[in-house]
Amino acid sequence: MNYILPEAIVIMNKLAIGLALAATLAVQAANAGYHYSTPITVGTGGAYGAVHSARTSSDNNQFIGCAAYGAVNSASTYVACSAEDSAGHSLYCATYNPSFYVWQAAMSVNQASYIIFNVDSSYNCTYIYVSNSSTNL
Amino acid sequence: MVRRWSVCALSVAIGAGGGWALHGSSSPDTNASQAATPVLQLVPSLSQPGSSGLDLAQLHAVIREELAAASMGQAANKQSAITAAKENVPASRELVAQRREALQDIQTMMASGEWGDKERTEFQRKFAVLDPEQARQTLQQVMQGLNNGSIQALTKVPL
Repeated sequence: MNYILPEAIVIMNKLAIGLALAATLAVQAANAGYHYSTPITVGTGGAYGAVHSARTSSDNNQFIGCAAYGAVNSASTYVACSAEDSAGHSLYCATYNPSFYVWQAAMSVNQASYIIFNVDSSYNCTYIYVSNSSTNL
Repeated sequence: MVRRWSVCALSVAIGAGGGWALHGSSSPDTNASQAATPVLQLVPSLSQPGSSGLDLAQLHAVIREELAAASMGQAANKQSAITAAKENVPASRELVAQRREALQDIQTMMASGEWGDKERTEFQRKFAVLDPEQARQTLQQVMQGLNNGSIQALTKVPL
């Protein structure tokens, strides 16, 4: 048994397909540009990875970030960084009264950041590297 | 003799006149011109606009910036001196008691084995009370606890 579709429906279908194709191409264009995906890697002496890669990862574990602490009535400050990989391995570090440069590095972290931090045996952050780039998004 | 006296009188008159003229020409209307005058005397080419690319207004702006930078430096030095002086003052009994209590509270939180938002916020509040050595040691203990698993982090954020 053959069904013959009315011409109007055929035209509507073609139009819908065309629009869907155009929308797909538009989305691809919006995401164009060079891009690195750098998931979080955690070792015993340090961790690295991109904030955006961690945030958009399919697992529920990955994260990386840094924080800085200061209080008006205290001379004590610290900078802390932490990360966790997809397998759930985590690393935490903190530096008490860090130098201005370490502080600046921690404070420059944003959604486009790629972070590397190293720790010593007492879990002091000995090195914080932050690179902010469109390629990390 | 009379001729010699008349030469002396003439010299004195010329000197006084010159002095008065100089006094009159250097009498400033504003503080800015007072500040700029010695600089202009030291760098004669700057007194003529356009001769070196810098005019008086630009020069004043430079001087203002230099003075502002100098006064900011003095303020910073004063602040660091105050901070150093505060650190050298022995802690009052009340402050010592506050520090002891804060330290105990942090130890209790660490002993609980869990570190969530509540503990993190409380830690930050208590941390401000501690003396520098207590703060440094406590921070290290929390880090060791989080990394060796004796403290389990309930939130995925830095300390």
